[in-house]
Amino acid sequence: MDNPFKKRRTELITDRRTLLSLVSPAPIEEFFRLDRAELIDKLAMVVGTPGCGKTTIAQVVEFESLSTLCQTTASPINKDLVDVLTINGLIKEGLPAVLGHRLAMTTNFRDIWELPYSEQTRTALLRAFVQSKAVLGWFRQLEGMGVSADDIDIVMGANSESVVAVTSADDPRAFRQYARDIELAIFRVVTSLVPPDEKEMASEFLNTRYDVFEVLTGVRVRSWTNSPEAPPAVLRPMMIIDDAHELHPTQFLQLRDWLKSKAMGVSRWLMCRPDVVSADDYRDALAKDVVAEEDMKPGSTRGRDYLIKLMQLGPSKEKRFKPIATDIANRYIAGIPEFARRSLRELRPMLSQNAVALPDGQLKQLQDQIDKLAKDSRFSKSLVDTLRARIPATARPDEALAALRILMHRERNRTPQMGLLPDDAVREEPVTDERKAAASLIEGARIQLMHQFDRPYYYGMDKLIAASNANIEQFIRLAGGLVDEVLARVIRDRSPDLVPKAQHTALVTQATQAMNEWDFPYNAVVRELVKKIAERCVERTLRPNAPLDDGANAIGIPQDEMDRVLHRHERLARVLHFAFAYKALVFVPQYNCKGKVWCLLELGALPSMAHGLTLHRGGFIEDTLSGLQAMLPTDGA
Amino acid sequence: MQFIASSGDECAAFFRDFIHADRKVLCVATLGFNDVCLHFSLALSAFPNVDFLFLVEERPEVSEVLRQVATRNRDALLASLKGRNVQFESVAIVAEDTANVAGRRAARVCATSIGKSYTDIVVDASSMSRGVCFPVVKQAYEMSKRPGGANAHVVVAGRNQPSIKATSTSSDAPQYVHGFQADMDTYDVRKAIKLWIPQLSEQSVASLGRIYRFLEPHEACPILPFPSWNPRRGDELLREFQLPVLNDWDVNLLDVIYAHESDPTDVCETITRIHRSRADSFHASIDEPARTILSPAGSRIGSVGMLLASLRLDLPIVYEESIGYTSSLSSVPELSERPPDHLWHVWLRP
Repeated sequence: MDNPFKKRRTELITDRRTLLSLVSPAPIEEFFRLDRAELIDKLAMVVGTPGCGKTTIAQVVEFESLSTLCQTTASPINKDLVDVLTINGLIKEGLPAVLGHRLAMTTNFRDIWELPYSEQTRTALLRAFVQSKAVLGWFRQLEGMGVSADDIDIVMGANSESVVAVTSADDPRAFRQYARDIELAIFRVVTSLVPPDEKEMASEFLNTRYDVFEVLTGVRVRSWTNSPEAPPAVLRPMMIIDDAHELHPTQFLQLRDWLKSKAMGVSRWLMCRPDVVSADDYRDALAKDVVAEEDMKPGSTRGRDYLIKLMQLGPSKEKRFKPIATDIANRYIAGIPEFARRSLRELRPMLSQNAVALPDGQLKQLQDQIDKLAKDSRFSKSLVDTLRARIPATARPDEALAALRILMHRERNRTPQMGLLPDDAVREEPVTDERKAAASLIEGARIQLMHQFDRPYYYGMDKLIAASNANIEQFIRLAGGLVDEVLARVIRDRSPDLVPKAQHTALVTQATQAMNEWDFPYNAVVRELVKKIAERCVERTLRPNAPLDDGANAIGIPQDEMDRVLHRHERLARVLHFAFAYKALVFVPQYNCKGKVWCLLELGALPSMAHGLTLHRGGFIEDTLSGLQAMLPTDGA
Repeated sequence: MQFIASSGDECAAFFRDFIHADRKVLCVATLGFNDVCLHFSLALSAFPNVDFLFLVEERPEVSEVLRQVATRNRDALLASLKGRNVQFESVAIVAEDTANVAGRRAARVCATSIGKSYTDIVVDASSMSRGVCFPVVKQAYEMSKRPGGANAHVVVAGRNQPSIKATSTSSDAPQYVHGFQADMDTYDVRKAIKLWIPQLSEQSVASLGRIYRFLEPHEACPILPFPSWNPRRGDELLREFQLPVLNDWDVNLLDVIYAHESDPTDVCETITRIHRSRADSFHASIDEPARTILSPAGSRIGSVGMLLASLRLDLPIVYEESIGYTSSLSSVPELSERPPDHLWHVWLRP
């Protein structure tokens, strides 16, 4: 097998067995952990940025994947994954329990909105197109695993006689043909150069309603081609609508409102990017996220007719990403023969955390700066020692000196009337409080050392995970760069430990390169916006007194101002749409701070690294909507 | 479909011999920043029985200097078209929600005009976006199949090197050109064995990469320009595309296609030959039919070759629309008096 880290996107792995062998069960387990029943029964809106693992989860719950995993072979493809799927009820007694199919919202679905028909007709066409595609998708999944239409029965719910008659549900082949006819009829209307007028369309193309989601409850498989001895089973149909953000915003709402109907016997997920979710839904999901820490139900809303599943954001998710990332890395490492031969099974020990220290010359330079600062500020030795005592003993000497410099600046700022003291007077007691310097202050000191002396900062497994924005694709891409370096060392018979300097350089280079490769709409505007936000954050971070400890990597706009922008179709909204989609900025709505609700526009981890900023979240610079708008370059610049 | 093609000076000769007083011709063109857009409109303005419909492509992100250049071109043209039947129609390329609506809106705008009592429709593809031009040409061609329908013509002018350097910003959403989807994405072709023929052009690695992921073809046969004005262009492109061609797309280098850079008929015939021989090989494969998908990029002349092949064989075309153009120009240059290097006229015959 090739180096799996090289395949940045699971979409590039076309062979299902290869894909399944690489899938880590950890994110699947996390996904189902608390909302198992509701994910199957209610409409679930799965919200996450590209690369967060949505599509991979969708691919895993597709019928072909479940069946492939269930095949009894000498060497199971991914036993851990089977266990997790069994615990969560997607596999029962060694057979798939759901008939899942992923349907991506292509432009054909969006184009329905452009048809010159009444909104009611367009809505009906969209629903019929989704349903016919879903039915055909289920048949396709079954065929893919050798289950023919002759081996199944369509199971309809109560009071479905008329739908059974119209759709020929008592004959699976005729039922499939009916879905094909519907699909083709709508396809012709949508793709015709100039669509027929509404009356002609209604009479010649589509003259019946097509509503199978509300009556279809299952598909009974009478015999399994790959497991002839397996008993018949009724599979629950499951529709995963991916890339729902590609729809027109009104279509998205129409689809959501239709799919949340409790009458539906089909399981349905609606997957989309965060920026299309309404502010109300987000507010609710995040509010519950806070409560969730207590009742252990994070990132999802309850008590309403649909569930919102946030795939990332929220501090609770970040903590849980750590084991997921570790598991994925180790799974990928196991797929590289050069490592397997040398019994190297984990990424963490390869990313050396060995002491990084400034050379003596630079250390002396730092010490001289501190001595001068003490002298200029008229701090006595005892005052400096008192400040020094606040720094944890675990801090390395250069970090301790940089942290001390920050504390001294803070002390100096708190005593503004030095001019009143006699020339030879020195201050013996600090006026700042006696708290121990926080870990975040030590981080701030490290960042200042990075900027001043080029001291490595982004190294070690924890930093790598933080640099991933809790996004699996980004993690794999960044880890891939580091693994390449380790691989080169191993092949040359050198120790697999990658020194911090090499890690730092590799990560920053990758971040810069990824930004250079940005090739999406409005990328020039996004670059400029990112640059301006980053410049302000760097300025705030490098202030001598480090007011935010480890600094800022975001700007905050009052939430109510931001809501107005996201609801309008103006340039800023379009620019932000692509900035969020490509993780140039991370959208953190409903952030409570200082008694106000903020919407944070946080720099993605890649821009943060490229500009030498913290990867911790929460440090932001207050701004306003007009300030944000002023940062945008003019049209077409 | 058959076509009659003329090039260079033959184009003017064809118009002279063909556009008699009893003909009523509609020229559909765009007015962009590229001055080659003026050539055929000015040439046709010599005939009093030619009407003009100019599609104004509205994009959200276009540099101000390029807008000014387009205005310069428009003023130059209007001076020559005084007293003529000239109509301007705006065509939104991108909808409010950033969806690409170019082809659909263009087809809607042209439906009325093309349906009028013209004997000939001439579509000038020189500076028209592919997403606008292809549906309009197809519309004209479909119309020509009807009894008494107007003849459909495509004309295109091009230069070896553009007079104005502009960088296009692609949308990040590959899609079929409106009206050029054939039966792709339907259940009947769920198992289709897909051959993808992309036209390689400078700075389109990312865009073609997205198209590849969108299509997931089984085979890819990229087209390189050869012969070419710059004989090294093919090699340089292969170098630029080294990573995707050799890794992601897994192209056998024997499958690379060479087609004339400035001869659309060569591109068309090459694609026709490949598709037909492949169709012959796969004719017995009912469940897994063979499909050939095209992706034009780069110069318009080569794209017209793909358009001809698509019209002839009903081949789907996938592309990414440009949502804007930027340029490093600081001021509006003088209008070039240098004629275009290449001129083509193609008469599409049902």
